Amino acid sequence: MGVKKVFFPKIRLAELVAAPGGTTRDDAVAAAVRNVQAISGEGDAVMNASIQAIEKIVAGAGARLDPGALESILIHADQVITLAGTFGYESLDRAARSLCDTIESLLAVKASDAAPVAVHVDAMRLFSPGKASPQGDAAEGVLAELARVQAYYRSRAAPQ
Amino acid sequence: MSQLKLNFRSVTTLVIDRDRYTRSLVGQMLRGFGVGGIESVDSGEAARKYIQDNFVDLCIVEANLPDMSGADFIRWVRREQKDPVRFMPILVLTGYTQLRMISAVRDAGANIVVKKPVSAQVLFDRVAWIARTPRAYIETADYVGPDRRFKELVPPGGRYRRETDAPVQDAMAKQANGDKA
Repeated sequence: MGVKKVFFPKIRLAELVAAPGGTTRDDAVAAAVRNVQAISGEGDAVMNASIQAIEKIVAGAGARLDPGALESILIHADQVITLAGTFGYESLDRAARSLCDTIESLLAVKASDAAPVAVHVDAMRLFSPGKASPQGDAAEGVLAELARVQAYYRSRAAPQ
Repeated sequence: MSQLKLNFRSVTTLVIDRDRYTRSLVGQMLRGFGVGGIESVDSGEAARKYIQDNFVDLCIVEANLPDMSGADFIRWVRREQKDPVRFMPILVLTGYTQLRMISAVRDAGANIVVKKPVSAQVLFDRVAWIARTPRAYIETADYVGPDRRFKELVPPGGRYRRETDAPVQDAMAKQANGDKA
């Protein structure tokens, strides 16, 4: 077995935060939330741009999406999940997560069907910021259909 | 009971994320905490250059950078930099599709891993935890970084005051530090 050194290095961050003054957790978090809310409008625009980028990839691909295209979609969808979660777009968040899970299944079995991706992107557009999105049972109905699509591809990806 | 105060005014933070808006979002949270120095870059290479010329107290990095993995960046900090830079606290943000990278960044020497979307509450609690909780560093042939077997002591009664006070279990290693990473 090799040499193992265990030590406690001096961490400047620890010393700085202990300096007199500063702010309480509640005040710090409240200020941070205000700052984030101030840029939420831009967040909506970024989400719409990410959805648009996915739509463009899907529209240009035809019936098949190569692995590179699927990986690109994952990057955009990840961005949508991050911002939808941050700004409380719950249905959009769930639709984007379902898209990512479906793509992971497609990649796992080296499938390239564009249809399951397209149906997810349509749903994401439906739930996107600025749209009169379905609510309640109507939203759950759309998300249930996405769950069915995802389950189908997940079963294909599962080891037999 | 009065709350503990933390003073971030003299703290310099480097935020590394490919996406401009995510950098802005994290920056706004840090500004709210009172962090005095906030720098942001969009790639691992830009971060390397910045760190070589400037001292950074806290690094917040996404798990998958456009030009290198977050794990590669962390290894570079822990292996190739001198004291005290190589002990710089590093908080990793992972996206939904990057969860498979958690073990890689942990084994590269990340202090803590946080899943996106990250709220202001969670970010504050994680940064405060890194800053206020003494943690041993380990150096072996395979690994340099904070003790991966570190366990936060559970408060009396086994209940945290807030859900977000509990550490991210995914980020905690079960293997011994001397084992192959």
